[in-house]
Amino acid sequence: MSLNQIRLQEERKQWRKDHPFGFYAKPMKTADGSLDLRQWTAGIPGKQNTLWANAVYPITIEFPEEYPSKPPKVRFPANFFHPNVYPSGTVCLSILNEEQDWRPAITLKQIVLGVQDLLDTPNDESPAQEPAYRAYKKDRALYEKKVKEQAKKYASA
Amino acid sequence: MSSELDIRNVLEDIDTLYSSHDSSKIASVQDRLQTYQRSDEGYLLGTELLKNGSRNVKYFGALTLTVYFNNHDLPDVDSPFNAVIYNVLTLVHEGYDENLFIIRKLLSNLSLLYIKNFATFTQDPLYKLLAMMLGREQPVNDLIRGLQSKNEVELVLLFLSILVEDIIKQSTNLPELHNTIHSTLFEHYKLIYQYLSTIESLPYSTKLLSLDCITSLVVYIATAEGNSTQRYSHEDMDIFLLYVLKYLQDELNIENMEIYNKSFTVLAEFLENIPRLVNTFKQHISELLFNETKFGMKFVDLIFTNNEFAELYSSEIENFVNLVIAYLSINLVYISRNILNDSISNILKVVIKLSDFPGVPIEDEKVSEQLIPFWQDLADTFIDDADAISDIIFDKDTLDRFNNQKIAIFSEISQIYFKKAQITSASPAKEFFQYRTQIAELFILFYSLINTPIYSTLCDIVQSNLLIIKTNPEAMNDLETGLYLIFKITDDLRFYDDEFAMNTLVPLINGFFSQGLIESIESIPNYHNHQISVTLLNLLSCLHFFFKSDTGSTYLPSTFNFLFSMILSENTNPKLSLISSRTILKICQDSKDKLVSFLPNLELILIEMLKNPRFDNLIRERLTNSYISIAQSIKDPIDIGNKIYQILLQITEQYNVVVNTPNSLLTDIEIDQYDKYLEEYTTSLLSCVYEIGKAMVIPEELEDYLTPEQIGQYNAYWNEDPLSIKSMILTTLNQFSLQFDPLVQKTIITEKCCNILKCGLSEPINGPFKFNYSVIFEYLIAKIKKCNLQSIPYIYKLVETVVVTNKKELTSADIETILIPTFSDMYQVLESDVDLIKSSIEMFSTILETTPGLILTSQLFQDKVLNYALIGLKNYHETFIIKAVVKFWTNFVTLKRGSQQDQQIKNYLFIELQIDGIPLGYQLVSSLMVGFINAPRSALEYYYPLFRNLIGKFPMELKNWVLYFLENNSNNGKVELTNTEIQQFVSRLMVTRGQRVANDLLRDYWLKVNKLIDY
Repeated sequence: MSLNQIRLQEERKQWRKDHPFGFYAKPMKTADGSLDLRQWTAGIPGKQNTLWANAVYPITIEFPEEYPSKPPKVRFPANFFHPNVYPSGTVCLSILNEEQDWRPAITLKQIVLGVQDLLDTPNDESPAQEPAYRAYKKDRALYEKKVKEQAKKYASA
Repeated sequence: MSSELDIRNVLEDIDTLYSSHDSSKIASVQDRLQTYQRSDEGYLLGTELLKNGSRNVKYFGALTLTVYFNNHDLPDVDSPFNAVIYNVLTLVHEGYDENLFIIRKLLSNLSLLYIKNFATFTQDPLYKLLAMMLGREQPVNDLIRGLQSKNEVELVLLFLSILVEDIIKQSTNLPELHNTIHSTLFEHYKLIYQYLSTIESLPYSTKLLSLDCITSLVVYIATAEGNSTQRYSHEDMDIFLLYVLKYLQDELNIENMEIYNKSFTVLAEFLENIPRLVNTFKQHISELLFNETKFGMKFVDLIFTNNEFAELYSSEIENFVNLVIAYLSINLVYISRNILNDSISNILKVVIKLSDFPGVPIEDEKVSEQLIPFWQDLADTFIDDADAISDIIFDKDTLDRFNNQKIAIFSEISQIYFKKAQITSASPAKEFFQYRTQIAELFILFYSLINTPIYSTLCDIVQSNLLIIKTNPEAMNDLETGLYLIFKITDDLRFYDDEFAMNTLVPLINGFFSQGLIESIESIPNYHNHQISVTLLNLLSCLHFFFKSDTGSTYLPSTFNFLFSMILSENTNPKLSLISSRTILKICQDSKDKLVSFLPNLELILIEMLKNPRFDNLIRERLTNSYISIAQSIKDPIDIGNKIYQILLQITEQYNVVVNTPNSLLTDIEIDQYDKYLEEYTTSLLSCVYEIGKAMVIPEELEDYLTPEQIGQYNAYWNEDPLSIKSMILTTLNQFSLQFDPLVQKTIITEKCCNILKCGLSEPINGPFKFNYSVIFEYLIAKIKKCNLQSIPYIYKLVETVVVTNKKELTSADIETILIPTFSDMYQVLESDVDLIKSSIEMFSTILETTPGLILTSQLFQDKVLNYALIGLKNYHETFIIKAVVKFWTNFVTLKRGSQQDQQIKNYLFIELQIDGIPLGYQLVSSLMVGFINAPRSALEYYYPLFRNLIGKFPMELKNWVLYFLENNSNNGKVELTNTEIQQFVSRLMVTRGQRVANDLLRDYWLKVNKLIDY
């Protein structure tokens, strides 16, 4: 088994033992029903008392072959409204950037918690999409309105 | 002591630190004390404080030594080490238990001194401690045997465990230290436990400490083996394992519970951290845990028969279960391959029994939750090991027995967890829902392992409970749990194979729908907020494949009734209404052709929603999309036209109400928040127009979707547009975004309008949203004069889309028509805002990329745009502007879609066009070099493509342009380059011929002129 697979098995094991409340994360199934440990789906709940609350935002996590030397790619659905999410849905976060704060020791739990944090605390140093960034910087009322609409779209019970 | 460090002042400060409640005072005292502690006199101060009568002061003294040792390199370690031991012994003498917290800190100081100086330590630290404590010098072995009192033994154990724990905490890797520990202190560790094993009756506290000390050692060994080449052997560890195991003797005595608890922890640490060192004891541990006459089973019997015990010792039970899991986890493959073996069968029975621990999960018991990961791991092992099993077991009968046994085990477990997943409390804790999700994950795994039978069993449970629910209200729990687990399994399925869903799952789901699932739930009083409604709602949201089938589509009426009742009832939690609307939308989009008969009812509901501002905006918009999606499936343009007309008419009426008699829409309370309500409502009305547009997009390849005859009908109808729908849409846009003052300056309104106009641009045939570009331009020209600044990027984006989708029809004159009012006339406004610079540059960039001929020759482009883009390149360092501007210039330099004539014009412009009296080529390179040199390191990569394309396209000219700039601006950056260096750089750059190596050259240049180094 490759280093990559061993580590992902371990991540899966750890996630089952202990994961933050309201989150989910699991490897995707392939056509033959087996698991593809390098492709995960996960859900990030918005923090309570924030604009993002009462919704679970779906993401996909794609682990490259070089993982854990290289970070996974985390994606929201395309056109997800957030200043640090590219139009393709890819999340721009320093701990997910090989040239910035990624370390092989960063766990799946830390990644999803980092993404949850990012939701309500955008980093205006690294804008990734124009509409959300512009609204965040220049028209906060519009920004809040759009985030709330988006939260309704992903409402969960 | 110096006057600055007057001990009385320090004592006063310490007193304040421990007694004051004034945080600012505490902060200033802390600052002062920390300065003393870090100073060269810290050691003297610490020693002095340790002499004080107050324990708090003594502790602060010990702490001061820690700070001092951490911040100073000592020329002589022996004397402070001895002095600390002396202080430890004094404190032991004065009262071991009362002074224990200070003693611990001092022992930690000893370990700190050792870890920092182990390479130069002249004597073994434990030997030093023992020798000073016992007052004689003998071999360590003899000294250990000479330990007499409880305090002496405990001090040694404490020191050893603190030392190894402190090594683990070290941030730096110290492989040599690990080697030294193995050859010295670890030997003493063994001697101590050999000695302890010989003592008949150790004090209780010593037993506890000795177990803790082994835990520390085990965790240390795992760290040491991970960070060095040092390895420990079975022989090394046997003494410790034997020591622990002797505490778990056959006779169980409740008074020893704390010792048992520590022993569980130590053994679990062994199994989890260094399982290979436990190999020789595996059988022994298995016996201990699972043999009926041994400790483990007695413990299990006790917790199952004595409720009071189970409640009182819940944490000990958790630790025991952890130990069981740790043991089983290292034997998963063995267990999974030997389920036909009696001993394994016996072990699994114990674990199954533990999983069925009595009590309400989370509230009363945590054992069942603890065991979920174990069952998941075991199920995974069966899945991963399936191929090997069929290789190992040749005999068909045996293989059948094996598979039956496997199914029996997981069936039993599923029955247990099915019950555990039931919601028995009126308001369960949120942790219970988390637990329930874990159970669902377990069932998903079981489904992977057992497939359809488990799905079928759950469907049967639902079906049978539906039959008795009227007479037996308790059946509700089974029903809800069954639906919940079916939802979770179904939601996890990926339908790569439609046949499987249609042939296998649809009949199973039909089994319970046919028993009146929806009606039964609707018959529950106040069902809207009942948990079963939430569960049903979630299940319906993932049954689109079922509703698409002929069988499932017969339940659409009752399903829609239920979903709409969830939306329309005033009792429903708003979140559930939203989920209902999402489910309706999904079903409508997936099964539109089966829903045509619902259109009249849907229309009534939709019209009511359009009229009533109190409906949730998102629900209104989703319903509009749902309605039009179904209408579109009829493929009759006249019918669709009529339906769109009705909705637009209603939207127009509502607009008139909002403008003329808004108060009629609102209650008194809402009138107070007039702006908020009406703005959101009107925005939603406009969004509904957008939803119509989205739902009208041809959903697949035109030829697959419509016959040639139908295409003809569509085009004919929309060319004629007998109901003037296109005109109605444009009127709506004009009214909302140009005439109604409260909305005119709202960015969101511009965004919606632009989106509406974009809907039909890419459509292959005529339709209600297919507008001629001149109509769109006309609207945009009007809109840009009546909008806020934040709206402008949306206008530019729409221009870009028009250019991309109408490139064949557009002329230079058309482009000029739109660009003069939207760019030229706005020039000064644009310059004031970086976002607008970016948006406008991107618009030009797209035109250059798509059909450069549209602007290359225009005066606007040559006079204004180029100059504007030069400023953008030179002056802005925000990443998003750099990206946009560099892309503009790269598109201009390459003109990938340009004709030969376009290329000639471009070359002419670069060489001949004068901007401020200097040719464009020189100007571009000047701006590029200034922008590049001053760019942040992280932005360099964005510039490379432009340099490389310039080298490729203007090899002769570029050399002169760069040389001209550098020779006249050699002081640009922080380092002035010599003429030779400039010549070398430019020559090397040109030699790259624009290949990738140019990136490195440019980066090195940037580093040099910015006086930075690569990292």
